Amino acid sequence: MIVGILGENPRSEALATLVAQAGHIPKIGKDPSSHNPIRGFQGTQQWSHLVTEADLIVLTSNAIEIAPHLQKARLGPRNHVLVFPGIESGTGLWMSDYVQQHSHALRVGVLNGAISLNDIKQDRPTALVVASVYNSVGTLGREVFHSDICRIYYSHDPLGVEVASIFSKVVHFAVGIAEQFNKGPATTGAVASRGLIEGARLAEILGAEEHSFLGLSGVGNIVSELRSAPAYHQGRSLSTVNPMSKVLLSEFQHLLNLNQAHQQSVDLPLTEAMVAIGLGEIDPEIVIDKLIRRKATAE
Amino acid sequence: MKSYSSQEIAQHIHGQIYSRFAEQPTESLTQYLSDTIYLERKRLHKEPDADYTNKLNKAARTLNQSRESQVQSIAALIRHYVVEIHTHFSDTTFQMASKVLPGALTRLFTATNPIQLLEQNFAPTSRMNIDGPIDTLRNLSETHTLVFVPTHVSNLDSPLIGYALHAAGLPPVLYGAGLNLFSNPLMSFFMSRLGAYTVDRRKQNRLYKDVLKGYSTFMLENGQHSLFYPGGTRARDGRLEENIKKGLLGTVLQAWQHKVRSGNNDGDLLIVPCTITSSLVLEAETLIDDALEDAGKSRYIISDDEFSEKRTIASFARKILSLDSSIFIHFSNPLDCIGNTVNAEGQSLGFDGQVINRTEYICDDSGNVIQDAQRDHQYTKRLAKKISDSYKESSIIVATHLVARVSWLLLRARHPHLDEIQLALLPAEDRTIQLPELVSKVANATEWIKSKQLRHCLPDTTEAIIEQARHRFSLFHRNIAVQRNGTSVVINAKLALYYGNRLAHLPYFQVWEQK
Repeated sequence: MIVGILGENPRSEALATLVAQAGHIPKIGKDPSSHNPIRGFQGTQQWSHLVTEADLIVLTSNAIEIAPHLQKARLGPRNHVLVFPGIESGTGLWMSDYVQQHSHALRVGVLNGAISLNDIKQDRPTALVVASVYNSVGTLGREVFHSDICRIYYSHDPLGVEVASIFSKVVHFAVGIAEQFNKGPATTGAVASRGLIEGARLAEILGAEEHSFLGLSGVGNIVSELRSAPAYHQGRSLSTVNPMSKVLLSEFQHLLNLNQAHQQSVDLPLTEAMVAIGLGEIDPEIVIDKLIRRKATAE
Repeated sequence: MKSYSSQEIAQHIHGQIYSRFAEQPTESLTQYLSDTIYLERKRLHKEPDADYTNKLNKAARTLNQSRESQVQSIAALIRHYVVEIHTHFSDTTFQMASKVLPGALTRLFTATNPIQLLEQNFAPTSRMNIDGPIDTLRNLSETHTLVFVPTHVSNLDSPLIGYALHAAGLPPVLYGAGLNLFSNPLMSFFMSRLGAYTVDRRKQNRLYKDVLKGYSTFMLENGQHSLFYPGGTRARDGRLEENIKKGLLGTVLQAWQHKVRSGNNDGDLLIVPCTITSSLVLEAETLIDDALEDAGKSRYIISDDEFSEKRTIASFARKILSLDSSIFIHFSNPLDCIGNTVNAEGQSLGFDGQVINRTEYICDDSGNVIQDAQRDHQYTKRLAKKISDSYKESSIIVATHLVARVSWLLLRARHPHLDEIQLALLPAEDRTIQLPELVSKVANATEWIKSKQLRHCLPDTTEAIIEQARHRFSLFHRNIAVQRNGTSVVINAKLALYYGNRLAHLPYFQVWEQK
């Protein structure tokens, strides 16, 4: 099968390697503006040609690039598409919803997991999750990525995977702050577990499945990237000269907005605290202590 | 349109059902048949039917016989069901529907028994407001098969929508009506002339449901304009339908795929959401009682509501049709079977307004339809969501609904710890709010409605809105939803909840409710 991987970045190269190892043909949608030109795989700058040819399309763009990339790709009704989780800041839509609402493709899913080019090149095993309400997307994902070094898990809860993925960033960021201020391993454990529970609470009221947080996008992501995720490094080096990025802040704020807009809103103390840090409303040095000192409740 | 015999339809449905089992072991077929027999025998303990019981007994004897015997039993039951479903449907009178309709509706609303159906003297059109892209729909009805999917609060909806279709110059439609409606001679006369086939909701077995779906699919495939209530039944709590039933709706997608597969490109299927908004609902009190008792399932078929009284129907109809701006029927822009909007030619439009080839959603590169039940289920869910969104966009706000919603929320605010049932049980003195407070809150809500440019039919002043609502409630309900008593207002919690629920989806009220 032909897999069209649109965009040139380290993630694209890792995916192309996995596809090739699974015995299929990766074709790269070239991006002349990219700083990471990929060599060693077939490719074209004509994304729309690739879209008509490929059995499965993977959009590797992040939330900021997604709109121009979609315009370039011109996805059609026949396409099966995978995107990485995220929130499109202009619309506040989850990436998979954004693609469905801003292209002609309906059969869209979310791809997530620890995708490290370095690990893949060293034949280290990895696992990915493909989440879609369309079984055909899950089946294609499994077929094109599954190999001796890559195991694919299929979930029919793309929303759960999207929410879990953003909550992992909340946890990574909070762990980064806790470690910056030497709060110890017990705090790391508390932040990780409470962050997961918080995320699962929100996911449930939004209609996602709680157990998605136990999967690769939740526990899997938190553990595998605990000290390597960009959000962790932001928390670890947070200072007045090095504030939280706008993208991260807007993602965290989006979680709060979703919660507030819901009739059965839930408590999200960790996310609220991280947003308060991002807005400069609270000193990161005391945020963990403040969370611990909150009035004891039947949590 | 070509007319079809029950036998012809039954054969078609049998072919479809049997093809599902063709690759499956005999045990699956046996299970299917035995489940049907078990559920029906259980039901027949309460509602005996000798002829049908005999057929079930005969089928039961084949359960330990050959596969062929079981197939024959299923075929016999399919024939029985198709005859029942199709019998009330009169093709001849259906073809005459456009001529019969105006008089029939008039007489329905003015008569108290079938003999009086001969009288003629009433013109309800002047009281009904019918709008939407009527010209487009009229043109599309010549080249496409239209499936109307209205909101549903009352048994009067069917005659109303039937009349609206006629008044708008749209073709008559085929639709499924509950068996209980045929027991009312007045309605039976009327339903069969509107193109109604029979749906017996007491039958919960899978075979019957498959036959119903098969019947609907057959008719759609053969170009029959149809009508479904996608909520399945009357909305018990008065809300706009959100939980749309996917079963019957899914038959539209099935029918479309069958047509594409057979290369029959004429008369592609399009879905037309419609909202029926009425200031008053005949069965309001019974329906909200049912919703509050959470007995929706056990009382799925309510046979003892206001609708069982012929005089009540006529009295209600006369009253509501004597009012200006009391009934609104809005036809929305049509959708394709996947939920995309379509243009005036019936072509599907993508997110960017560009024409797309909708068959690409179901076909491979060579144009062959790919069978994928799971995909179809998701497409139907998408269509259901689009229909529900369309209801919210096109529903019109009337005074009775607005005043009821505000009154209900004020009452809740007064007793924040009570649930809906407890509020309904409060004595009158505890259900009283101050008039100035009601006026102020209605004024705020009206301002918001106008600022959002929502469709409404509200009088110009707040006082007039409240007075219109009060007057309309007093026309029919004994314990009216909002009763003025000097400077205070006594709220009938149940009716306020029922009528106000129609606006519960509006963000303004959702935010208020959260507070």
